[in-house]
Amino acid sequence: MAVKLKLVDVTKLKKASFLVSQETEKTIAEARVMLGKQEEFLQNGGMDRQKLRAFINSDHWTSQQKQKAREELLRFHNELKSDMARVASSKRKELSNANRLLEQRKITPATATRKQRSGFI
Amino acid sequence: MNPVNDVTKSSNINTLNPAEMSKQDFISAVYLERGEMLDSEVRRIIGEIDKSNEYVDAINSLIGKANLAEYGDNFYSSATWQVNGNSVVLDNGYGLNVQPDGNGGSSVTILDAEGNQLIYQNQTLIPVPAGTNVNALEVGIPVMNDMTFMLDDGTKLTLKVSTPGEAFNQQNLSGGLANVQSIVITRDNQGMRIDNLDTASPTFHTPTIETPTDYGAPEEAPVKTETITIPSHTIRTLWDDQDYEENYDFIDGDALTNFKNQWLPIMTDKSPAEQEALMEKLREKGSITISYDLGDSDGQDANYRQSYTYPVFSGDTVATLINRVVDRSGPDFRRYCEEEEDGDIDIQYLNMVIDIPSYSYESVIPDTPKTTLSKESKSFELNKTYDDAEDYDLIKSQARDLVNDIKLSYLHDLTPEQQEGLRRKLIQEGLRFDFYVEDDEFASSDDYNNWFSVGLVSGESLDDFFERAAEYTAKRMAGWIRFDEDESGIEIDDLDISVSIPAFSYDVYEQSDKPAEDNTNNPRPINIHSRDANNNDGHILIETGGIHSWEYGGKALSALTETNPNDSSNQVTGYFARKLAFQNSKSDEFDGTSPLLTQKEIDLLTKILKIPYADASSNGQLTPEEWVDLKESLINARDNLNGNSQLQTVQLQRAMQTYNQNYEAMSNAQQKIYSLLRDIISNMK
Repeated sequence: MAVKLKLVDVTKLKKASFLVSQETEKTIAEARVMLGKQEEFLQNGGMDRQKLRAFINSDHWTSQQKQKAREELLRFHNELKSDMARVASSKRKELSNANRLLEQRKITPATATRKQRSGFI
Repeated sequence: MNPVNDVTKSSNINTLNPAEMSKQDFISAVYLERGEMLDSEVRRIIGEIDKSNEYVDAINSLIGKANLAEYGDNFYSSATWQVNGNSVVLDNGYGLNVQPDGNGGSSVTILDAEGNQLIYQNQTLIPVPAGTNVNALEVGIPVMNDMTFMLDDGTKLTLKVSTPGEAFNQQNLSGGLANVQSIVITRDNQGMRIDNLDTASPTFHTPTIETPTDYGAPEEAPVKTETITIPSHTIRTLWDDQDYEENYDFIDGDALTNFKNQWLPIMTDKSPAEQEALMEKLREKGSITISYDLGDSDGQDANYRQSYTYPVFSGDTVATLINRVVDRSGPDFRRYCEEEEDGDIDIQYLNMVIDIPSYSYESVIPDTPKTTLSKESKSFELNKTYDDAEDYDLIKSQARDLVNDIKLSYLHDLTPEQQEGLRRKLIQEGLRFDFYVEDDEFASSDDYNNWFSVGLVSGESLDDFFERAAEYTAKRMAGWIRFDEDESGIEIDDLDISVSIPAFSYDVYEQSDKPAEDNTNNPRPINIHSRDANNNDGHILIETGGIHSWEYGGKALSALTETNPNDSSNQVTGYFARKLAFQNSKSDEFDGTSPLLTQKEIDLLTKILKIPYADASSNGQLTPEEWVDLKESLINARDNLNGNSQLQTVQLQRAMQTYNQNYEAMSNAQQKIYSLLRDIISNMK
């Protein structure tokens, strides 16, 4: 009797919560390092958020330049957000697939359909 | 330069020349702005993941508690705690270490599996989270009165303290501190004690196990069952009227209500087992019959008799069945009478009867030796003479008088066992009323002599039965004279009524030597070591995520606030708040043996995770069953958070990618940007 084997991708199995916690903590730790670097970088220059804003919005730049900059920042922000949404949705898909991986799938016997000639060829 | 507004010095303005500023500067600034934007995004995600991790941790500890409640033994067959010299090893990673404190006393370190500590030293408890240093003055818990620490796994540590050397002074919040003398440790039926902690050489008592005296089912007086057979009988209501005032409306109206009012309470007062046995029998039989017998007197006397049979349904209870049978048959019988009578009706009497088949049921009786005693028969009689009274109701009222006499002089003196014996006798054999009526008509006297017997219906009290029997037999007697003997006008001269209460036997059971437990309030097996049972608990503190973290009265101990006794508008926090909280001695009793929910956990469940859970105790003392139910929801919640964290993580990783690129871009042009920053700064001056 033919046995149907189901291949399971172990890398995509549901993760235990402690594994996920570990992973998130690792990611967060890396992120914090970068946050620290950037903060330091800005501090070295004696810069802060308000000053930066004021500088960009100052009259040193033409209104066209400022407009361009604003558009550029908005585009960047939207791109980032949509990119994040995209990775999240693909992850969501992966998670739901992973949840289904080990589930016993019900096999409904396929109803035998005979291809019928639909007429003269 | 002339001083302007007292400003003498020039402010050394270094104006930025737009012509000197390149587009590159602007672009760099925009890059910086991007960096700021990314920064806030990343921080937001980190915050969310942190929170979600925190919830997962809390849920995991809750699941741990649920597992303990579900799988944890709630009794020990042998001692699991060990005393090694000055240390005690408890269950689930908890332990205790006693050292001399150098001042003639002992200090105690209590540890949990994670290495957190609770150190008792010099009349103060110091909670120390693993791997940190604390300031004893900030976190210290003053020892003033007995305290009970409930550990996560249900272990109880009760600190018994001596009287404070110096009483607590409310004015300056000084004094009141006491030495710990003993620690009583109990968990279910394991218990131990450490004494003389106020000396440098404390005494360790060996942990002991006590056989749970009532482990398992809740304690009850031992019982067994006995089969009781109820003979076939009838339940009947006889209504009579000398004035013939009722018409058809009575048949399907008041008559039915009377019947139901009389019998439904009695039928439903039977024990559930008896009701079920009766219904079983009726279902087996398939049907139930109700009979009507109506006497009519208008012109020519007539009897209308009719029986109706109804099926018994599987879903019927005694009440639904009797209601249905009575409600359906009443209108049918009225229609029957209307057709037969063909005109007005004057009802003399109406007798409604439902036949009850014989059935057996199991009755619960004490499973202790019994003695069967007997009580001899006793007769009562009431004889009265009247002056040619023309009222049949006299029979009723005299029978009632007799019964009142019996109640006072006999029934109320019976013990409960005797009452039960008499009830059973009367169910089987009934009670017989003898009547003798002398009717004086023109000196030629007719004597009416008859007796009627009526059986007690199980579920009826003796008092109720005697009243019903008197009334029923009196009505029967009157009816017999009126209709069967065809007496046209009675003039009662002499009326004698006598009742003979039969001899009966009754069982007296020996009292079980164990008192019956209060099962409703304490449905769980009680399995408490005598060291716990014999010691009152003091202020109760509950572990919340490690032995360094405690909850008192639903609040985190570290965040406890108390009203300043010297200034009610002022709140005291920290060490002195704890002093105020523990200043009075308290002997609470906490008898939970399985893990309990802390207030923090209750808040997490109800406010954040929105997980509904059953808590019959309503104070977080879940039963093992409730824990198991909660665990399922917890695992689902954890899975959700788990998936959520993974989503957040990929978003964070994605954001970091851009963040890093942006940073690279900024720092590659570092020189450029530094000069830009310098320019900006100088411009801002």
